[in-house]
Amino acid sequence: MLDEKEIIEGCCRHDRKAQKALYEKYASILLGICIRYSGRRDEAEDILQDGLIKVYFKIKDFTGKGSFTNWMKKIMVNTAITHYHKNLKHHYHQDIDDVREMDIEGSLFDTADFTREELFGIIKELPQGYRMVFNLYAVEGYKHKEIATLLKIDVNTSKSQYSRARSMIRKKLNSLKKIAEKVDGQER
Amino acid sequence: MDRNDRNIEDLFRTLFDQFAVNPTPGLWNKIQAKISWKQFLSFGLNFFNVYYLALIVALAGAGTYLMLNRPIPQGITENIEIIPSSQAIQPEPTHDQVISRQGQIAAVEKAPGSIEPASVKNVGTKPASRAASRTYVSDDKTLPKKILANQEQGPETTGTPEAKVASSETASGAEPETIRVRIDFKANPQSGCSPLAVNFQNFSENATGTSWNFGDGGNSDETNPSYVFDEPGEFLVTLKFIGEDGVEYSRQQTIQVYQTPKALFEFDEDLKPAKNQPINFYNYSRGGDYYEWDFGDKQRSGSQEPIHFYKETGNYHVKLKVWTDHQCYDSMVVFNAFTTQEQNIKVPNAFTPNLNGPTGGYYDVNDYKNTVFHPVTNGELVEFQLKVFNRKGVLLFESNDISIGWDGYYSEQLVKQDVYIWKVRGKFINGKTFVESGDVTLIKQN
Repeated sequence: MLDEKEIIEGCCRHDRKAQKALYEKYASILLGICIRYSGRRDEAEDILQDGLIKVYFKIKDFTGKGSFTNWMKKIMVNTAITHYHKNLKHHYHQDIDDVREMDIEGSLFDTADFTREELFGIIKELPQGYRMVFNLYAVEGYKHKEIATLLKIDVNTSKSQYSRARSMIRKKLNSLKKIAEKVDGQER
Repeated sequence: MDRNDRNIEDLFRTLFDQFAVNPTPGLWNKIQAKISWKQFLSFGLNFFNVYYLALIVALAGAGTYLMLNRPIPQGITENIEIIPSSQAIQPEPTHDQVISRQGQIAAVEKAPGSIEPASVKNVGTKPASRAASRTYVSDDKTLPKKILANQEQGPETTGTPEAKVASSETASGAEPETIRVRIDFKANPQSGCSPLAVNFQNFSENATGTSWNFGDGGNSDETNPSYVFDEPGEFLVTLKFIGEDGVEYSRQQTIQVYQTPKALFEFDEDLKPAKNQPINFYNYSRGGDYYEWDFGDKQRSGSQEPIHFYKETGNYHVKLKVWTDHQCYDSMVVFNAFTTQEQNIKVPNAFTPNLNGPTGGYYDVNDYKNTVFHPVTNGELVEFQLKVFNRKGVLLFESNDISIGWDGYYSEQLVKQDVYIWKVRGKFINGKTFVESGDVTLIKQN
């Protein structure tokens, strides 16, 4: 197994072996990112393909400063955004302006209470635009201003979509928690 | 709080940090294929590209092959003369011809199914030492090769120029082989109004590499293309191809596209048709030569900008038809021209209050002194409310009566010259509600 440095050097030479090693080492984690943005596996794999092609052909631009994984993650996020723009018209757009309730109670959660798969399930069910904003803001840590530029939306749209996404997620997390507590109670 | 409690952002960030999903097996092969394709398309000097080498070798091979199999090019150019078929060579059945036929058969057997220049050459050279000369025999005036078939651009027919290419012998004039290349096409229609869609029907025979140039920058390589000419003008359409005899043929035809006019008119909308009430119609049409107005009361006019007198009030559909000398036309209709005005409310954006003291806000609709700020409506209101605020949001004036507006005074004092915000809401008699807001400038003027 090649290490990261060898992989990068090999990919700079367009060495097929190094490219494959890169794929084997990082594909699953990168696909994790793609699927978080797209919510659908087939589309996520398309994004992964496009993103990896970019990685392979732009690898010379990677300066070596910072983490290689983060560099690739950033490329995946950008590719996911490109896909989002391209496929905007294909997605069923669900308008949930009526989600207005702001339940303050229960906005703190324990990491141990949830699995990744549960969280992904929640993310997956978000409307496309909310999912993009939530991922970018909460997970990737972008600012609303940056998100607005990336997604070509207004800053306020980004903020309001984020807060709606957040309240939807909170609601779902709470209901998950309640189910879990019920199950626990029955066991006791 | 001793539990590992965190907010949603932290929760997702922590759990998704190492969120991994295994890709479908076989995805790597797809990516590999994409990389190969992209590498092939992007030429880089820094790495050795096998595909380009292969391409170069293939091209070189193909080039060599073509060079070797081509008939000597000089032979063709020198022998391109136009000889009317009758006087050129008298075809007589000779012994040579019989031999050459055999030769042809032999050649065909060698290269079955293909009538290539190579076989022509074979045929030509086999019986005795005859130069493989070519004579183009033309049925009519059409001359192949560089002599554009420019004639006959009449609208009726494009004619049927045909060119026979015969590999003939100088001595006997026998024709061992004939490739009939025909260039002909028909456009339908050949003229019309823009945008004009034209179907081209290609009657050419034994053609390869057909290309069309539509004369307005458009191209096609279809055999029977359809093309839309957007702009008016005269366009020279060229059909070009290489005949199976290796000669380039071309033929042209003109397509005439006439300008389509645009009908547009306005009229005094605020007038009600009545007896002795002249109504002006303003004609803004473009590109028209003739006009026909239909005023909706069975009266017509052919003048460009008519003034019409309706006999009575009513519901009229006004129609204007515009056409040109080439019978291109356009029309515009305004239905219910004078009756179905939308009920609306309009609010002015400036007023000049009376400086001598408050007036109470009463106003006369026909008074144009503009000392009172008030909305104007053409409908009947059942509900109305007008509010005026200053920049700080203080409510300066409120009225629930359309006939009372703001005179510019607040607690008996004239407010300063400034921009004020208004909000107006209400309901028309037909049930339509409105809420509008905007600003108005108060101007102090003597």
